[in-house]
Formats: sequence, C-alpha cells, structure tokens
Amino acid sequence: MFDFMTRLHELTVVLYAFSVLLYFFDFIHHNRKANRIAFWLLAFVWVLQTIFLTSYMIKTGRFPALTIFEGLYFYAWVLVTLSLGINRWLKVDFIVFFTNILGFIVIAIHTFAPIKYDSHVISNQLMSELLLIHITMAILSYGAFSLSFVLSLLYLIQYDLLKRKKWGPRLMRLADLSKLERSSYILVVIGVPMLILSLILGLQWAILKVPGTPWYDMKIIGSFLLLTGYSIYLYLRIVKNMSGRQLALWNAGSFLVVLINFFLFGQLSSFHFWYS
Amino acid sequence: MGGSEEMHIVVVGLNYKTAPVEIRERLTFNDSELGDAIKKLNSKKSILENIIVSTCNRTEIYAVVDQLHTGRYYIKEFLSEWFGIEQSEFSPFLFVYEEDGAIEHLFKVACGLHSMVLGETQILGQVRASFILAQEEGTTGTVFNQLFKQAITLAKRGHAETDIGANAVSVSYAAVELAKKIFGSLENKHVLIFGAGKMGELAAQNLHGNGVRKVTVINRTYEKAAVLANRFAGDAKTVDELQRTLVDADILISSTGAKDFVITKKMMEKVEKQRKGKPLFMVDIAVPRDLDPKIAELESVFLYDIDDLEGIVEANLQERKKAAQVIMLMIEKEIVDFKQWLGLLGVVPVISALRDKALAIQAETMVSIERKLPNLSDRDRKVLNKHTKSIINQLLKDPILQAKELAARPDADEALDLFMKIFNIEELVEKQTKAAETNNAVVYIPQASFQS
Repeated sequence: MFDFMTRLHELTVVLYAFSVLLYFFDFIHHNRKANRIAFWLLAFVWVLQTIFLTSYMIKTGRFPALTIFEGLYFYAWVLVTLSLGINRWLKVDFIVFFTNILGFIVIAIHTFAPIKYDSHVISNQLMSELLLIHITMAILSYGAFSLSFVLSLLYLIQYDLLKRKKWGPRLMRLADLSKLERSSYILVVIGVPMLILSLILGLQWAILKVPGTPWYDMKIIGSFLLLTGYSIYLYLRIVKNMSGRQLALWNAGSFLVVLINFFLFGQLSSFHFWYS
Repeated sequence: MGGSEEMHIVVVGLNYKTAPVEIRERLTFNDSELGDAIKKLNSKKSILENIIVSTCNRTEIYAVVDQLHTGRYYIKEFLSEWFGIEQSEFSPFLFVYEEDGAIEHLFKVACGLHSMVLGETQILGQVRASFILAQEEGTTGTVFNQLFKQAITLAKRGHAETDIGANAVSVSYAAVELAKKIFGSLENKHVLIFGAGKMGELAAQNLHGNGVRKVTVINRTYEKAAVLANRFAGDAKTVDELQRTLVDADILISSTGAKDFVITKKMMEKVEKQRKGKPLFMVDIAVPRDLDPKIAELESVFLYDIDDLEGIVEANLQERKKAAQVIMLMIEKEIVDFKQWLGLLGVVPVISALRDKALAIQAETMVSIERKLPNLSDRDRKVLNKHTKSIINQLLKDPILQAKELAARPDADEALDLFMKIFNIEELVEKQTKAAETNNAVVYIPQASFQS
C-alpha cells in the first residue's frame, strides 16, 4: 500500500511537471491546445493530490499540517486549488502558470524533504487543536499571499509591456492593470486577518505548551515582520490612496519575506519543530 | 436531385473590389424587398435555389441552377429587371464564380476574408440573415440548406479558433483597447480632450461609445470647447485649468494645432506627484506632437503618439493575416467535405430505392412461405424473417458500397444510370427523388430550358 502511494505521488509530480511545461509553452508560443491540455492535467493532479491528502488524513486521523512534510504538501494543494479556482472565476490568463511554478517548486521540495518519523513523536506530545488551527491558518494566509504575489508579478509584466509599447498576443492575453491590482489587493485583505488570527493562536499555544518561549525567536520576529509588511501595503493602499507600480513592488517584496519566513526562519526557531 | 439531373452552384455579384460605389448603390437590395426579390428570382427558368446577400459593400446572388449558361443569363436578366438598369451598365462590374469557385467564395465571405476590414464578423450575421430569410421564403433546397449551414458553422469556428477578429484595426479603436488594458472598464473614467478639432471629437465619440461618462474639453478658444463638451454632456474649461484637470483625469487625448510641445515633462512631474501612482493614459494624436516624449519617463504615465497607435494597427493586421491563413486551410477542408456530401446526394435515392425493392421481395417471400407452410410457430416465422432479411442485407452490402463509389466518379451520372438499369429501379428512384423534394419544399417545377 505504501509503495503504491509512493508511485502515485511520483506520478502526480511527473504530471504536475508536464502541466507546468505545457503552460510555459503556451506562455512563449501562445498555443491554446497546450493551455487546454495543461489545465486538464492540472485538474487531474488536483484530484490525485486531494485523494492523497484525504487518505493521509484518514490514516493519521488528523489534519495534515504538523510537519514540514505535511505542511509543504498542504501548501502546494492550496496553491493548485486557488489557481484552478481563480482561473475559473477571474479569467486572468497566465495566473495558473505563475502560481504553479511556485506550487511545483514547493512540491519538489516536499518530494526531497526527508520524512522524519521521530518528529511525529514530538508532534504527538505537543499537539493540540490550537496548534493545528494556527498552522492551517498560516498556510492558508500564505496561499492568499502567494496568489496576490503572482497577480502583482503579472501587474509588473503588463505594466512593462504597456510602458515599452510591446503590443502583441501576450499583452492582449494578460488582464488589465486595474483588475490585476484589485485582485491582488483583495487577496491581501483576505490574507492579513488570517495571518493575525494564526499569530494570536500560535502565541497562545506557545504560552500554554512551551513556557519560557523567547520573544526574540526568529520565527516570531519573521512573522511580525511579515504582518508589518502587508499592513503597510494595506495602509498605503487604503489610507494613502496609493496605487500603481510602487505598490505592486511592495507587495512582491512582502512575499519574499513570506518565503524566507516559511523556509528559513523555521530552522532558526527554537520551538518550531518542523525541521527537527 | 437524381444522378441524371444537372445541377450547378453559381454566384453572381459585385462588391467594393469590383465595382465603384456609384454602381453598388444602384444595385443594393432593400431589406424589406429582399424576400420578394428571391421569390421572383426563383420563379425564373433554370434557377433551382437562390439566396441573396446584400450589404453596403456587396450584392451577391448565390444560386443552384440546372445549366450554368442559362443560370447566369437569367440572374443577369433578373438584376436588370429588378433595378431597372440596362445590363450593359453593370455587367462589366459583375464577377461570376462557378462550382468550387462559388463555394470557396461563399466560405471566404462568411469568414470575413473578403471584407474591407479583414476578419470582421458583421458579414456573418448578414449571411445568416439572408439564409434564414431564403428558408422562410422557400427559395432554398437540399443543396443550399447544407452549404449555408456549413458556411455559417465554419465561420463561427474560424472566429472561435483563431484570433482573426480579436484586435483593433483602426487607430481610434487601438486607443480604446489600450485604455481598456490599463483601466479595465472605462465606465467611471474621466477623459480630457485637449484641442476641440476633428480628431479630438472622433476620439471622444469613440470613448463615449465605450462607456466613458465624464468628458472634459479644453481648447484655446473656450467657445469651441463648450460646443464640443455640450455634445457629450461634459465640461468645458480654459487652458489655465489644464494642469488642475490633468490631476483628476484618467485619459488625455491631445490634438491641438500647436507647433511646440504644449504639455511639458516639468508640468507633468508636478501633476504626477498629486496623482499618487494613479495611471494616466496620454494619447498624442497631433502632428506635430503636443506632448514632450520625455513625459513617458514618468512612472504612472503611459504615453502613446500617433505612430505608436499606427504601429499597433499594423501589428494587429499582420496577426489577422496569419489567422486568415489558418482559416484558408479550414475552408479547403470544408470544400472537400461539401463536395463529398454533394457527390453522395445523387446516390441517396438510388440506395433507398434498392433497399425498398429488396425488402419488398423479402416481404413477398415471407407471405409465400407462410402460405405454403401454414403450421409455422411464431418463433419459426421470426427466424425465417430474420434470415431472409440477412440474405438481402449481405447481398446488397457490396452494391451499396459500389454505388457510393460510383457517385464520386467523374462519370457518376452514366455509371449510376447503368447501376439503376441493372437493378431495374429507375421508377422507384424517381419516386424517391420526388418525395425528397416535396419534403424540402423546393419550389421547383422542371421547365424546358431556354437554349438546349
């Protein structure tokens, strides 16, 4: 059974790779057929991932967000889900491609991440609902920020094309600046409160379960840095009524902090046992 | 239509390529009279089916005729009678395509490949309207019902599968498309028209048509600005207020007659500070230019001059030409498909006549068997029925296949005649053909042709 699941997982990764490649081909050559095939491949990948996640949840009897292994997988699933959803409702061309470059990197890291069985032991000791909701909320907010980042990236590409007067199929297919900016803003509006809730729950958990947690822990500082970054973005947008390229750059910069916080600061943290 | 009957497709017409507007305007059918026109044409000798497509750029008569030369003659005669013009006046401007040429012409017209603006979709609606009208008036039959349906489906597919109609091919539409790529919807946008000349007016009209509600006009002489602003329910302002208005505007269309730059980078730097990154789309359609090209260096300004817009139009035209190539390939395939269908058309009544005859023989045989063997059970009868039918079907399988092959041969008529003679089904075929024709409500009574 385990072997079958491993094969299934490998198949998912290969299909995912094909899908992203086809999207890339479409991005370069504007091929509708490639785009359609890529979309269905991705939908199939989503189904496989969902099956994988569900069976894993049934097997372990809990939400799969306690180790880096599980967290990465869940993050990738959130990205695929969001990109498929946005592709259906928003009709922003190329968003699926860029989101899934990100998603594929995450799943690739997941595939090569060592599964540490002993970390389960720790997780069982410290597990609580508080922690689960903390991690789930954090990953969901990361998903929202990721998509917002992709939209800002598309904004910057479209801005550049319009500015340099590069009229062509790419400019035609990319959504208009106003829509890209608005969607990206809305996703931050969704992401920030989720991140705040996640941080509150995480702090509460730390105080209850790991007494004496240092406030200067890298993960805590990173997370608050992140919150500040996105709060400034919202402040500039709502209060200062700012818009345009600077704002998109700020949003993209904030996402870098997300990545650093997700992958790097965990290792420097004294009590985030994802990597232990 | 039986294999022995002659049948040709022909199109006679004139369009913006073949005839000057003085001729075209005299040979344009009124929408309200089009129904009468096709009915009248269909009552002419030699005309079996007809559809007329009439727009300001083209008048084209598509017809199925029994002989090409008589068909052409009567279509020209009809045009002359209907419009009251001597044939010699319009005849030099007419084009005539026959058979494959006519089919190809229809497909190209429907796809917009023959339109003034390559790939436009209006013509498809007109072809469809003409087809529906002709169906209602009963001037179409088996052939045009198939051909025009195929043309309309093909054109829809061409537009859906390629980008032939996607991008703007005029300067003012290019400006509107660019504006949409920056702002999305233009509904709540503020347009500033600088210079109340003809160009500014055209641009304002176009943007207004695309949903822009707030228009401000600035002109050196205030009165002219006021007149233009009035037309779009907008405001008129003096040149002194230019800078203040630019802070609020989203789109600027500049077309003053000034010799030097009227909006400088220095002025725009001040304006940009107050706009907080809000994008400003500046279109300079004046020659010589009104806007300092250095303005483009400002971050939130998208500056396009007349050459940029013309460049876009040219690029879009190239895209359309590429798409037209793809559609041409689709057209060739459709022509082949249609001809195959047409080839089989004559053979359909032959095949069903052959089947009818065979089934009649089988039914007689069953009656005879039941008379001679009265004690058969229901099951026995079923088995016998099934097996006798099976004999017939197996025996007919090859002849039917061969008949289809014969219909595709150049000497199809003679070959099918012989085929019918061998099976002695000529009368049955005639009955079949008649039945098919009344089903399709073809208002055609064979008449002695004029020359043969």
